[in-house]
Amino acid sequence: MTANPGHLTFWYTYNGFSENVLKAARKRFAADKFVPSQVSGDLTQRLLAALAGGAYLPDITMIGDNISRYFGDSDRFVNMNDHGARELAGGYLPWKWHAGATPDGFQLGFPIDIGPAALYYRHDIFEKAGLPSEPDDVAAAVPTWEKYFTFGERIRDKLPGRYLITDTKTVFTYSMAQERRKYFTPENTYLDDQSHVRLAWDRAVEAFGRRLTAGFGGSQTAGGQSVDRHAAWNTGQEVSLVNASWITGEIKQSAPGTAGKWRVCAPPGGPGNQGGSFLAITAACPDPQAAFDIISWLQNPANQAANYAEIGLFPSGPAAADDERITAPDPFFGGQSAVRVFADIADQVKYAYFSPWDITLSDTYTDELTNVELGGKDPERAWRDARNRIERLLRRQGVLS
Amino acid sequence: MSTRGRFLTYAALLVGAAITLFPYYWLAVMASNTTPDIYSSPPKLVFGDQLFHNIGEVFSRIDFFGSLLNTLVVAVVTTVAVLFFDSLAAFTFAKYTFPGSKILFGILLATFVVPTQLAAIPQFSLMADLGWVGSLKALIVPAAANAFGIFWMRQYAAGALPDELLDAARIDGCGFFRTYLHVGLPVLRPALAFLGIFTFVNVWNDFLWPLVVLIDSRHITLQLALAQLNGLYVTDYSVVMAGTLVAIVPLIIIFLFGARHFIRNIAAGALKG
Amino acid sequence: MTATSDLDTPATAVPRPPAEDAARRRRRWRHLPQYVAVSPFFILFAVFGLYPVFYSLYLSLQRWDGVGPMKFVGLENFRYLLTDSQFWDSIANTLIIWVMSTVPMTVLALLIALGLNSSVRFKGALRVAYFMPNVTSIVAMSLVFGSIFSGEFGILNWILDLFGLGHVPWLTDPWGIRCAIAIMIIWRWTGYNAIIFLAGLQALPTDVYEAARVDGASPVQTFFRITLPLLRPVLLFSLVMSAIGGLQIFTESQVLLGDRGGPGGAGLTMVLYFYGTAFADNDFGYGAAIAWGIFVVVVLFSILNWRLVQRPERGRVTTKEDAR
Repeated sequence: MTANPGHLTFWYTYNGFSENVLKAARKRFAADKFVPSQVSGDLTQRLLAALAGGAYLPDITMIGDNISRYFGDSDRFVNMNDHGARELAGGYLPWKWHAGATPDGFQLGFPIDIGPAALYYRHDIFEKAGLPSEPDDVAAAVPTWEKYFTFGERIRDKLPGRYLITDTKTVFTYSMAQERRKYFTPENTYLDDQSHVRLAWDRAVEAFGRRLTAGFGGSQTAGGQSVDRHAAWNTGQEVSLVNASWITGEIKQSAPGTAGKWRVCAPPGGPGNQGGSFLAITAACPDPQAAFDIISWLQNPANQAANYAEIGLFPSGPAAADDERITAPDPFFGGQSAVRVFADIADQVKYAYFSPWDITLSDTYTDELTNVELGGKDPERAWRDARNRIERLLRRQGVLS
Repeated sequence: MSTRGRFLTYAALLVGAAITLFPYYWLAVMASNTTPDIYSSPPKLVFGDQLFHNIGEVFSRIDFFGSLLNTLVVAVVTTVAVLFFDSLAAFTFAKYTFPGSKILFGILLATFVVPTQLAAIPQFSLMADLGWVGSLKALIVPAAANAFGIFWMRQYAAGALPDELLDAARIDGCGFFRTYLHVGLPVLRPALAFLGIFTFVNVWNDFLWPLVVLIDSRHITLQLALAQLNGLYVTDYSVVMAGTLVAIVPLIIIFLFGARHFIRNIAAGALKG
Repeated sequence: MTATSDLDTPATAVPRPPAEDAARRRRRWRHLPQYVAVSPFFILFAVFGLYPVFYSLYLSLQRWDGVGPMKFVGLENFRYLLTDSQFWDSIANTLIIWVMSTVPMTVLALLIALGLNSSVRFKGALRVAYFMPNVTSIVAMSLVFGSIFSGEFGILNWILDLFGLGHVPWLTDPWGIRCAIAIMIIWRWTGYNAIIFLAGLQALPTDVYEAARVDGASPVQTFFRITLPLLRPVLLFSLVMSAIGGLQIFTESQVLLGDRGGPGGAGLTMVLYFYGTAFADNDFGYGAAIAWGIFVVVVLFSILNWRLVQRPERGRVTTKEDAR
């Protein structure tokens, strides 16, 4: 049973889709009774609840970067290759397209947006401090995390009370985003060698040890956003951040007074992706072909460009990222074309398998990092605790024997 | 008490009340200013002029009146059902003995320790089987009678209802239900007032179960709408605060209207219990 | 508390009939209205309480993500639970926060009740003001307190700064977090308890005080020797209520700190751990096992509570005698 029999219901989150595109879609697909429905609360939790209950399912739904969560239950979804997805694959970034398919080629997700990670920084403050301030110069000054930290020390000395780095969690998360391997192989085998994880961990601990982090990691709302951090953007205390493109909207909305003062450039450590979402059709949908036609229209280049222009979702299709409506100079970034910077990074991203456990594992590590940063926990003990907890958890869940 | 002692007591009570009410004041301050004002340092300590603008934003972003209506429906229907079922059962347990009545009351007491709120997972599956997921029925029906209310009201009824009254009713030829209606209910009125407010407030403010069982955004309660506003629109903090303000105002108005009556009965209820 | 004895002495005792089938059947029918009257609760409880609880016992023996097939794992989840430091921490957090909130709350409520009981003006308005937090949504006020406690722009830290007391990292330090949650609970429940204590004070017999005054007892002596012992039943009612609520602390933590209880998991209460495991991590089998772990804690706590309530009940009678 779907949520609204006789209609094609589409679940999306707030700021998950351009309302204008949806309005147009409603009109265009009036015959199919296309009904977009903004879901309250956490969409993943709602979707899992509906799947578990076998009731109130949407026909089409958004799915986040943890799409592999559903690979084991692909019978609850529709294989879009049966409805013409294969022919459209060329229009989207290969690594992103790949991420929406199960290991045996079942195309469960259709790409919406991606999250290429860049360095955001306050041009005005860098300039006033006499530091490199133009995007190319900044990128050249901080090619690696090590150089970035050294740069941060200069900021700290020249501008006391201001921070270059949000928290240890940022360093860890974006270091991992740049890795080609994360925690599991695509066959869901746990990677015994976690030396790259240890590298990201050590880097995060080093940033803290050199007193470069502001430590906002603790105070987050259920939505994952930090109000303290918003305050720090407004007051100019946080002068730079490494983050995926989707944070642009959050900065714009919570610190409108800083418009024109931000710039973006290539991040320290190389290209990486964090986040991004998909569209999927549930098996409860009575007319998957109609649903697929709607999806492919929603994700055509013009609509992807509109998604970026309105809510900052970076297009997964290179054609959309070339649309002049969004490549034009962006006043928020002082006339810089931020899209070009993100598109360059996105082109260099390589496929990395994101397992169903990645979020939990990453959270476990970053929780322990927060303990180090805010609770004064010994880093070695924190690392051991994180590793122990993860191994125990995976053993209980039957991943490790 | 000396004049000085009385003055000090009075001053301390006023300070305490001011501290108690401060969060409301602060909420109104934040809701009536802009987001950058909230983040500014030193903070703005007085009301701004953005209140109606912010409330307008709230109404345009979430279906405030829809969720208010849903909450009202759930709270009113549940409260009426609880008052009826609980008082009827309490009246019966307090004043009648029938085969198994003691055992049944014992079972009722035992249910206190059964952690039903922790069975949220299978409860959800059950709602799915019944086809009630996403429907307000899923909130109302399971809450229509509860052990706490029955136990508590039974204690009250046992003390407040003299046997002579019941005997008189029986001699007058009243059947069981008529005795309940004409003798039981009037005497139980203070207890009903307490249980009614208690239930209404609890249902109004309930969060965990609605969070689990309500899926569709057209059928959410005020608390969920509020959490949604916070989780999703936190970038516009003054709007979140305006939403918070409008979400608590209805219940506070209802409370202020009957506050004296409410409070007296709550105290009376607690003592009798 | 006065009516407890009614449990054993039925008001309208039905005489035991001779064992005659027809009469007994008639008698059964005669009691039908009573069975109907008490049935709604039992029916609802069986369907929406008992069945799910037993089903969750079954679930606790499974590994299940809520979507795919279940896998029977026996007692694996419980074995894990016993050595799960997060679970033990969540019990400790819950009890710590309960103590940190209940003790100050009771003292404050008693002081307010005593103040209100002495003849002051605007008693009605003061009672309303003190009681208001109790009817205000926890979700809403958690959001407000979140901004009051905020380390960066919170008004509380600003005030502390004014007095030169420095910043307290309320929402990032483990003890700051527990303090913040406890303060929210104190704020919510002090007025409620003050009102109840006040009613208790007003119900105390005045002749006892007369006698104490004649005997030359000081106000402090009167308070500790007479008022407090006489208030015992009311105090215990408040204690039991706060224990019931205290073991279920959830919303404050969840709204303020998210599903994992904030830095160091200091705000991770038992119910929050259950919720996070079941509905955020979709670990339904283990979630059910946690639920049963919490059940055991609640039962142990209830027994403790019951003992506490039972003992002073006897003490109260003797005190009453002494006072007279």
